[in-house]
Amino acid sequence: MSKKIIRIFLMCLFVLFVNSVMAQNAITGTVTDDTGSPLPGASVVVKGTTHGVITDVNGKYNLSVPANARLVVSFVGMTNSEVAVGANKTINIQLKTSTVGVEEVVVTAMGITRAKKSLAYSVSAVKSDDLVKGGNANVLKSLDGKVSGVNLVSLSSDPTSSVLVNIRGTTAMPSVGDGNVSLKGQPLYVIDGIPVGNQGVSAINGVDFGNILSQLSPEDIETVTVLKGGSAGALYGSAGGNGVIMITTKSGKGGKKGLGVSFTTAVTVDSPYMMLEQQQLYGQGGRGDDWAWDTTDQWGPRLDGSRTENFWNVKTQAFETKPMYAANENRLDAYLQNGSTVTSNVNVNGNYEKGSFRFSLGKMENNGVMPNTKTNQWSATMASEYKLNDKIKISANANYTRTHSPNKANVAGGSGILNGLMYNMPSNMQPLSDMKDYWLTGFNGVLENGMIMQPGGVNVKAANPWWVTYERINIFSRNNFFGKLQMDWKFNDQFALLLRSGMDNIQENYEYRQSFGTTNLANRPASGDGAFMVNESNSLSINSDAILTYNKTVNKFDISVSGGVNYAYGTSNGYYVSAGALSVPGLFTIANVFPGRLTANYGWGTGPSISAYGTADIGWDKQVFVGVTGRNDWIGNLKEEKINYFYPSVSLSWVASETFKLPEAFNLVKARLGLANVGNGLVKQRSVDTYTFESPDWSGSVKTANINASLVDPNIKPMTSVTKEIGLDVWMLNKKLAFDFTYFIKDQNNQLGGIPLVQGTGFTNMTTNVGDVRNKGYEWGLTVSPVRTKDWNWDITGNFTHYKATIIRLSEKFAPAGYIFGNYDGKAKVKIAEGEEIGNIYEENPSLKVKEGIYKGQYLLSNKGKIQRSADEKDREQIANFNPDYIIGINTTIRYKSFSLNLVGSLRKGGKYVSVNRQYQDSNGASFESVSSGPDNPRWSGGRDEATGGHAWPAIGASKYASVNAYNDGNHSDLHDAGYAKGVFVNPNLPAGTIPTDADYIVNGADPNNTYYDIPTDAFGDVIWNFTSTRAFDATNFKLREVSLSYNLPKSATSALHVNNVNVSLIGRNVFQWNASGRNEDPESAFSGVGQNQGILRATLPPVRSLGFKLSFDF
Amino acid sequence: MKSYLTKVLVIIFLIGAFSCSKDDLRQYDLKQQKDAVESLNDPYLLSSIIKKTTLFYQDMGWASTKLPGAVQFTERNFQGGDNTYSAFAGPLDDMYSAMNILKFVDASIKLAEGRGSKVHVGIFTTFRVLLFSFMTDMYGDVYYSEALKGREGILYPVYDKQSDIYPGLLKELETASSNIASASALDVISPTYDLMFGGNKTQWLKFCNSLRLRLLMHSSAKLSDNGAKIAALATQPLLTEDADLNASMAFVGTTQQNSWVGGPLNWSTNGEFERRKPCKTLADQLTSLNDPRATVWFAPVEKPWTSDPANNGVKFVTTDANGFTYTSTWEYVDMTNPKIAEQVAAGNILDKDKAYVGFIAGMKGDFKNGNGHYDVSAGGLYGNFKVSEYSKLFRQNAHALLRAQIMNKDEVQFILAEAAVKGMISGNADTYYRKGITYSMKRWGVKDADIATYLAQPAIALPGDNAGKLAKIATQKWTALFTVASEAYVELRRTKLPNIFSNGLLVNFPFPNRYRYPGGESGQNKTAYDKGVSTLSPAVDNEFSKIWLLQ
Repeated sequence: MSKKIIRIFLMCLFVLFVNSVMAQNAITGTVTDDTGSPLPGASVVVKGTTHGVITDVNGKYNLSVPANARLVVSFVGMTNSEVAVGANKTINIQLKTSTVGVEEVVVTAMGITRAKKSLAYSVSAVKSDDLVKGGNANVLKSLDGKVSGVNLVSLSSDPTSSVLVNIRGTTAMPSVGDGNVSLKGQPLYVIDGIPVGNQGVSAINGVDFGNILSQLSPEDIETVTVLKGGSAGALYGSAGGNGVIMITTKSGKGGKKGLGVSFTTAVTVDSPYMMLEQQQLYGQGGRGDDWAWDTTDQWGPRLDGSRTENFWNVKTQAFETKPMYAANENRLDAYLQNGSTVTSNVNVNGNYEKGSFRFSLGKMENNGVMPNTKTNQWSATMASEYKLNDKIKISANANYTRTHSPNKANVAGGSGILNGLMYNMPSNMQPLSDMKDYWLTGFNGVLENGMIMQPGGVNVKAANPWWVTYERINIFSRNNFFGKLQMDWKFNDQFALLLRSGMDNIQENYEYRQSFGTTNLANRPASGDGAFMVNESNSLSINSDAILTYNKTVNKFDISVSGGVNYAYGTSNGYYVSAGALSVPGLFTIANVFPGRLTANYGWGTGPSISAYGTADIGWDKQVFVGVTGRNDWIGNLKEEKINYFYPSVSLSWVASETFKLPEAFNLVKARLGLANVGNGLVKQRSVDTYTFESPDWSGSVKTANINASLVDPNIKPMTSVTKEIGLDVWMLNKKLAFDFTYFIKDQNNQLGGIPLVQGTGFTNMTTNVGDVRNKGYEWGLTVSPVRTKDWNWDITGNFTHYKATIIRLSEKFAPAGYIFGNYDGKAKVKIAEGEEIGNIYEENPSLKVKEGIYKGQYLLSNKGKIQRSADEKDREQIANFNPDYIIGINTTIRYKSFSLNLVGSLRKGGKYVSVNRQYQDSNGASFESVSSGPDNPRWSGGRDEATGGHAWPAIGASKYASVNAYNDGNHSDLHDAGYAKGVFVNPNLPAGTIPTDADYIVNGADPNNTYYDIPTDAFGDVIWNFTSTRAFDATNFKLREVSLSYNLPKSATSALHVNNVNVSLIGRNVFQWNASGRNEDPESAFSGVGQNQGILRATLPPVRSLGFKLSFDF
Repeated sequence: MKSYLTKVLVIIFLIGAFSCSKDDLRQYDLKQQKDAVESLNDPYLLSSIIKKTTLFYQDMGWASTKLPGAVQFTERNFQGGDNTYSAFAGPLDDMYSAMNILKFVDASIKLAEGRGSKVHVGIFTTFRVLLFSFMTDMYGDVYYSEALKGREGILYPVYDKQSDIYPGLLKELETASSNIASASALDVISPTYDLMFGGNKTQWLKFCNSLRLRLLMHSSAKLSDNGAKIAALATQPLLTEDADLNASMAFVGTTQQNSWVGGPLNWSTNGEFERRKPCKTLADQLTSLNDPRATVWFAPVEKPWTSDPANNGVKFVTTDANGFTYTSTWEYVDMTNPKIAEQVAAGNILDKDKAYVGFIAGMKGDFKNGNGHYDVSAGGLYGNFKVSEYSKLFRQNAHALLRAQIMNKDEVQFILAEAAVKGMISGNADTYYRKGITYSMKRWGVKDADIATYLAQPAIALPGDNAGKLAKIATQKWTALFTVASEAYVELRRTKLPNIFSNGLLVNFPFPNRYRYPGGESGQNKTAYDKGVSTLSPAVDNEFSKIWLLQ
C-alpha cells in the first residue's frame, strides 16, 4: 500500500512539473441568464479541458486560464456559450435559454454522427461522468441501472467478473443440448468504430477471468452508446443483430491549446456480506447412516456433545476421541476477507493548431475477497489527430491493456472452494483458523493435512480449504492491443471520404498448478499426483472500411448518403498442454509429467468477410426524417461455404413539434418508426461423419477414435431477424422533463439450431431452422429536474425495461408431439414448444398425480410410498421463469453548492431462480430444511429426531396392509426417526388391474399405522430430488448500486498548490441489497458455472460491498 | 495538394496491405483437414470398436450393479436398490449406449466396404449383431432395419419385431462368417490394433460362429429350425479348443480409461469397492462345492464368526492364488455380549466357521447388519467385518485375469452341453459340461490339479435325468458367467435355472423380464414406441411384460 502512495506521489510530481511551465491568467466575471439575473451553479470551463469552476451564489466565478484559452459556459436548460479570453481580465457572460437540446448529436453505427433529433430509433448514451462517478473499475458493471432496455447480469460480485449483457432480452431459441439463451444473445461491441466482436464469458477451467471489455479503464471512455437493435444496428449486419454497444474513447480533441494533465484515483475496500448459512444442529454422517469418518455429509448425530467419536484434529495433526460439538462458524464468513480495489489514471492532453493528442495510463489492482486471489490491470492508451490541411485529417488510436492474475479462484462450480465451504464442511469440523497448517508437519509440499484424513493419517479424504486456496493456483494474463488508423478527407461541402483500418489482438495465457497432496500415498507410484496445465491463445481481427459520404441541402430537403465497403479478417490459434499428473512434487513443468498423463491440443481458425453497405437519410423541413440502410455480406472462407446476405432497414421519424405549434412548454415531440431486417451468418456446412482420435490413447501403441456424426438439413435457410419499433420522445420545460418511450417487436425467424432427433436415427440432433421467436417489450426513460435553484440542483433519471420472448413457430420437422424438453442445469428442463415463453424452466421429473376424483392433483405414491415418475411428459410441472418482469433503474443527483450526492439503484421485479446451493445443502444435510419438514418444503413430513418433528416408527406389523408392513419393517431404523412423502397411494389390497376410485386411495400420513415411512434422508431426499421447485425462489431484488458524495474544493484552497478542479468523493458500490426471497444469495449472479445457465445459482460469491474514496484533480 | 495525394495513396496502400492476405486464409489447409477427418483406416476402426464394445459389455457385466445384482453375483452394501431390481422399475437408456457404438460400427462397415476389406466388414458386422442382440434381448422390439438412417432421411424410424430381428441377426452373422472365411490372404488384420485376437482371422471366424451359436440358443424355443442350425454350426470352427482365445480384451492399467473399473485409477478410494459384496447365493454355490474360484474372487471375511470359544481372537493369514494376502480374526459368537445376542436373536447370523461369506440376496433396510455385523461404528460406513469383500484382484488397474469380456470359451461349451442334452447335437453333454468348467477355472488361473480334484467330486457329476442335467449345466454356466452379467441375466431369464428367484429376501420381488424403453421414446417417437409396446405380453411397457422370446 505504501508503495502505491509513493507511486501516486511521483506521478503527481510529474504532472506538477508539466503544469508549472504553462502561463496562467486570472479571470473573473459573472454569469447571468437572459433576464440578467445571476446564475449560480453555472459551469465555466476552459475549452477542451476539465479545468473549470462553478459560479457562486451570485453567479460569480474566478478562474486562472492559460493564454489564448476559450471559455465554455454552460447551465442546464441554457445554450452553451463560448468566449475567447484574449487579454480580458473580466468576462461577464449572459446565457440564453435554449430552445431545447435538439442540436445534440450522437454517434451511430459505423461511427457516423447524427443529430439525435433526426434518429428514428432508440439510442442510449452514458457519458464519461456517469461511468466514473461510482469509481467502478469494470465498464460493463458501471452501466448497470443507467440504460433502459438493457439487462446486465454479473457472473459474480467479484469486481473483475464477467458480465452478460442482453439488450432488449434475447430472442435466441433454446436447444436440447444448450438452453443458455442469454449467452447466445450477446451484443456486438465496437470501439472507436472498430468491431471487437461479441463478448462471451471468458473462462478457463471453471475460473472466470472477466470479459475482455471489462479491462477497459472507465476513465478513458468518453461515451458508451447503446444501439438497441433493429435499424440502429442494421449497418453492422448479422453481428449487430443483438444490438450494438459502441464505445468511444476520449481524445485530446477540442480542448484548450497546449498541454493539460488530469489525475484520478479511487480506493475501495470490498467486503462480502449476506453469507449463506448452514445448520449447526447435526454433524458429520452419511445418508441414511450414522456418524462416519469419511463423509462430508451432515446426516450424522446431534451436535450436543452426547456423541463421542474419533476425529482427525487438523491443528494437532492427530486422531483424537472427542465429543461432537458444532463449530458454530459460518464458513464463508470465516474464509472470505475484505478485498481492496485501487484504480488510478493519469492522462495528458494536448491540443494544437494542427492536431491533438491524449495519452493515458491506468492501473487497477484488486485484492480479492477470496484469500490469495488478485487481479492487476494496466492500460496505456493514445489517441491523436493531425490535420494535413483543411481537408484531410489523419487520426490514430492505440490501446494496450494487460490483465494479470497471479491467482484467481474457481468461484462457480463443482471444484471451487466455495462449493466445499458451503456444503461439504460439516458443522462439527474445526474452525477454519485451526486448519491453517495445511501440510503435514515434515512433509511440506508432499502430504496434505486434510480436513478429513483416512485412518493412519497420511491419506486425504476431504481437502483442507487452505490447501485448495494456496496449492491450486490459476494464473492468468491477457494482453489486448487494439487501435486504428483513420483518414478523413473532405473533398468539398458535399463529398467526404473516410478510410479506416483497425485491429484487435488478444493474447491470453493461463497456467494451472496443483501441488501434490490429494492422491493416496499408496497410489502415487502408479498414478502420480498434482497437475500442471498451460493454455495459450491468440486472436487477431482486422477491420477496414472505406466510406464515401454525400451531404446536400436542396430546398427543404437535407440529404445525407453514405456508401462503404468493409473487409474483415480474423484469425486465431491456441493450444493447451496438460500434465494430468506430475512425477515429482513442486516442479511445474511439462517435462515433469507423469507417464501417460500428457494431453495436448492445438487448433486454429481463420476467415474473411467482405461487406458493402449504404445508408441514406433524407430530412424534410427538419420535421420528417427517413432513413434507409442496406448491407450485403459475403462470408465463408472455402468456396463450398460461401454465401451472402442482404440486410435492409428503413426508419421514419417525425418531429411533431416542428409541424404543429405546440404550447411553449414542449421543446420537442417526436414520433419514431423503425423497421429492419437482419440476416444471420450461416456458413454452408457439410453433412458428414468425422472421426477424432480419443485422448488419451488406449495404450502407447494403439489409438482409438470417436465418430462425430453431424446432420445438416439439406434444405437449411439463413435466419433473419426483423425488428419493428415505434417510439415517442417528449422534451419539456427546457428539458427539465424529458421522456422517451419505445415499443418493439423483434422476430427472430428461421432460427438456426439443432432440433432433437429420435435417437434411433443415429443422430442426437439435426442442424436446421428450428422456428421463430418473437420478443416484445417496451422501455422508457424519464429525466426530471425538479429543483434548479441557486444552491440546489436535483436531477432524477429513471429507466424501465420490460420484455418477453415467446416461441411462435416450430419447424414441422420437430417431434410429432410438438414439443420437447431440453436439458437445463440444476435438475431443470426447458421446454421447446410453440407458445412457450423463453426463460421458463421445468421440473426434471414429471411426477405422477391422481387424475380424477377428490384426490385429483395429489401426488400418487408407489407401493413403497415413493413419489413416482410419470411417463407422460405433460405431468412435468413448470418451476418458474428466470427473466424479470421488469427492471427499473434510478439515478439521481442532488447538488448543493459544491457538494453533490449521486445514487444509482436498480429494482428487478419478478422472475425466479433455482438455488443449486440449496440443492447441495439439502442433499448433503447442511440446509435447515434438511433437519425438519416445514413451510419451505411442504411435500414431506418428518425430521431428524423427535425434537425436529420426526415420526416414531410404527410397531412391527402395525399396518393392516402387508405391503406397508413389509416396507416399514424392512426400513425400520434405530438411528433415525421416520418421515414420509405427502401424497396418496392406492389401497395395496386392490386387485391388480382394477381402476381405483376415490375410496381406494389412502392418504399417506393420515393414519400413522398405514403410512409408508422412510428414514429422513430418503423421505426428504425423494422430495428434493423430484422437485426442483422446492429450491426455486423469487429473484426480485433491489440493489443500491452506487452512492457517491463528492465535494469540489474551492479554488481558493487549491490554487496555491497549482491544481484545479480538485474533487473528493466518498464512494460506495453495492451498498445495500434487498432480496424478496429473504435468502442470503444474489439472484443476479444466477449462473451455474461460468457462463452457464441463467436462473441457476451455484456456489457464487455472496454480495460484495465496496466503500472508499475517490480523488481527482487536474492542472 | 499533389504531395498530399501521394501521402494519402501511401496510407491507402498500407491499409490495403493490412487487410488482404490470401495466404492467411489457409484455404488449402482447411479443405485438406476437412476431407481428412471424414475417413479413418481399418486398424483404428477395429481397435475403437473392440474397445467401445468390450468396455460397454463389461460395464453391464460388472461396473454397473444393475445386472450383477439381478443375477445375484453382487449385493450392494449401500443404498441403490440394485439388490431388489429397482433400476428395472424405470426407463433405461442402455439402448442408447449400444446405439452410440452402433453408429460407429455402421460407419466403419461402410468405410471397410469402400476399401473392399471383407475381413473387416465381417468382423465389424459381428459386433453390429452383438450390440443389436443386446438391445433386443433387453427390450424386445427395437430399432433395427430403420436404425441409424437419419442421413437417408428416416427421421422417425420404427422398431422391428423381435421375431424379425432375431432371424435378421442370425442371417447377418452367416454373411459375416463367410466374409471372414473367404477374405483373401492379403486382406490382413493389424496384430497390434486387434486388441482381441492379435490379428488372427481364424479366431475371428470362431468368435463370429460362437456368437451365432449363442443367439441360436437364445431363440431356440421360438425358431423351430434352430436345432438343425445348431447341429450344422457345431461342425464349424468355434471357440472350443484349448489354444483358442476368449472374445475379450486385456486392460492396460495406465489411465483411468484403460483400466479395470475397480482399480484405483477409477476408484481412488475404497468406498465403492467396499460397498460391493459377493452375494450369498454365489458364495454358497462356490463354497458348497469347494470351488477353487472362491479364493480367487473373494477375500476372506475380516472377522469371521466362530462357534468355538477357543478360536476367539485367533488370527489367520490367507494368501490367495494371485499372491494377495488378507488377515482375519475369528470372533466367537459370545452370547454374553448383548449386542451379539441381539443379532443371534434376530436370526441375523447366517454364516459362521467360514472364511468366505456372501451378503444375503435382496439385502435392504438395516443393511450394515448383514451376517450379524453389530459393531457398526468400528466398521465405518461401508465395511462389514462379517461378510467377504471381493478379492484384491478386483482392486487392480490391470491384471492378467481381468479382461473386458464379451464371450468366453466356457460359455460355448455350456451351450453345446445344453444342446447335447436336448438332442440338438450328437456330442456327449458331460464332456462339454466338464470342459466348460475346466475352461472357466483356467480362465481364473486355477491349477490343473485343483480342477481335477473339483471335477472328481460326486456332486459335480451330471445326474441321469435331463432336467437334472440341465439344472447342473445351467448352474455351472451361471457361475462361469460371473463378471459377464448381461449374458447371465438373459440365460437365467430363459432357462429359469438355477432356481434362485426366491433366495434370501427376494420373495416379494418378482424377477424382471425386460428393460423398460428409454424415457425419451414415448415422447419423441410415440408411433414406434406404441407399436413396440403392443407386441409385449401383456402390452404394457414395464419390466414384467414378456418379450417375444419369452412368450
